[in-house]
Amino acid sequence: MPETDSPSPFWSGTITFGMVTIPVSLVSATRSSAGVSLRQLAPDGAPLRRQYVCPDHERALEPDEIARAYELDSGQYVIMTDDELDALAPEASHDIELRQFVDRAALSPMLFERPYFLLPDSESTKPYHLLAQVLEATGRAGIATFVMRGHQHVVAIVADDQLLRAQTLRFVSELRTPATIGLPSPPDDLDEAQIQRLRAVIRAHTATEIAESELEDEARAQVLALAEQKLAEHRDVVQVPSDEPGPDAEIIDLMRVLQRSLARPA
Amino acid sequence: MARSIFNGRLTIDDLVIPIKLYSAVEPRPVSFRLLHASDQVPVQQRMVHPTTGEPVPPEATQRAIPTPEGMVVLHDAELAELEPESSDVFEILRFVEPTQLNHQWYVRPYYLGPGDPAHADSYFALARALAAEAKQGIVRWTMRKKHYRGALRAAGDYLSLITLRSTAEVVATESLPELAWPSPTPQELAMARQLVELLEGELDLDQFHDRYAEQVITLANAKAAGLPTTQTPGKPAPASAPSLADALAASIARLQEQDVA
Repeated sequence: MPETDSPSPFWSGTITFGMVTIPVSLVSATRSSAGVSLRQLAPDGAPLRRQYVCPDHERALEPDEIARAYELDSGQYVIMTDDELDALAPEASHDIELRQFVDRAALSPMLFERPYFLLPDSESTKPYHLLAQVLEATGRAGIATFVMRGHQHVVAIVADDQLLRAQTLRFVSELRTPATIGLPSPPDDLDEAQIQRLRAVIRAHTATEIAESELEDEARAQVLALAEQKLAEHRDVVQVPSDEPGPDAEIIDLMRVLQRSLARPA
Repeated sequence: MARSIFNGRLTIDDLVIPIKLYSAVEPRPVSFRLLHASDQVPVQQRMVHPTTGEPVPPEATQRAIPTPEGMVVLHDAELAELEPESSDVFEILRFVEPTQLNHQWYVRPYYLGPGDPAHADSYFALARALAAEAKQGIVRWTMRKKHYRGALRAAGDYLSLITLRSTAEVVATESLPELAWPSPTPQELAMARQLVELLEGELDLDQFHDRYAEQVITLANAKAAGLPTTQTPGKPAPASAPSLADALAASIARLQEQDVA
């Protein structure tokens, strides 16, 4: 059940492709709020507030009393100021420079970190369309680095349905391998007949489509349905004083969520 | 040697293959702790009442879902009833083309290892069969009171399982603004294709490093050793914007010159 409010961009910049520049904005291709996030309430119904305390002084701390520290291997803490960390952050840049193109099929989904859509950010959409058409026709992915929110990311740009998509990739150093995990080596004498039997099982269960229901989050639907039922019965509904919106409150309009159409994502 | 995070059984039809699940992602190289600045003691978190400031212990806390009509309280017993039953079955529902799911669906990679290294034949045979058929399996399982969906794929001689988003988490392309498409000319398309071919290469991700993490660790060690700290920023030159055809032609010419040189 993909929901259909249009996502808002949070990064704008240009893709450069040789000397061609393509103004784009990046919008998230996922909806993190789709999970049901339960809020914590006091016995009287007031939404709880998170507080930081010093266990030694046994008292709550003000924000300016809290420091950020990196823990060395020795267990020693080194306090890092915001200024020091800002100075390390790569300089803000609004450029995704495509210097290399690779076979899209060579990108393992193990590398995929976060998916985005790239939308044309200019009246002149011809360069955008050109890159999308060529990437789609050739099955290629453009590889680039770019800076977003103070961090450098490696990104793969691919096209589907004439739409450019950006996929941030994990650094190779972040991924384990069967060797680093310590998985056993495959035996030299795999039973060929067993492989053939398994290939027959795979063929017997191969489908051209994935059933929509197989990718539904049943738990979420059940929690939403229970909440909806309680609302209808006016049971266990607590009014929160309006001058006290909780921190990062995410109000879910249940009826809207439940009634949304089953539009199929591409 | 990484520790497995779950032991289970991969099943389809009558077939049962014991497996262990391992995270394929290393823990983040840089994670910060929050300290009380004056005494350098790690802070603790607690939940307090918003007006009285009194701490509320977890057993007195109610859980609720926010809606426009108010907070709907869900009692622990009700939530417990909705929890999936624990199971060690990783059920393969079907096999599809590896391209059947686009990039948007994949979340987090895991490796599967054989449940018993002494009886690993069926595990390695499945990895070999999946690679030979060039398919991925769609798998469902329950772990730590949560439902998961994943894509089972061959990774060399081994099996990997990558968790998948649910349909509610995936933004439909229909929700994006309509795009009007002026068509590029055949000449522009041909040049763009040529440019892609000139820049074509083998995927080499080893060239990219998490420099920020490396620099944070270097700085932390330097500070701990009492060394002076310096930074060296660099700035790329901004690009100009000629006409599309001119830009393509100039880009191709420049790359061809580099090739000759």
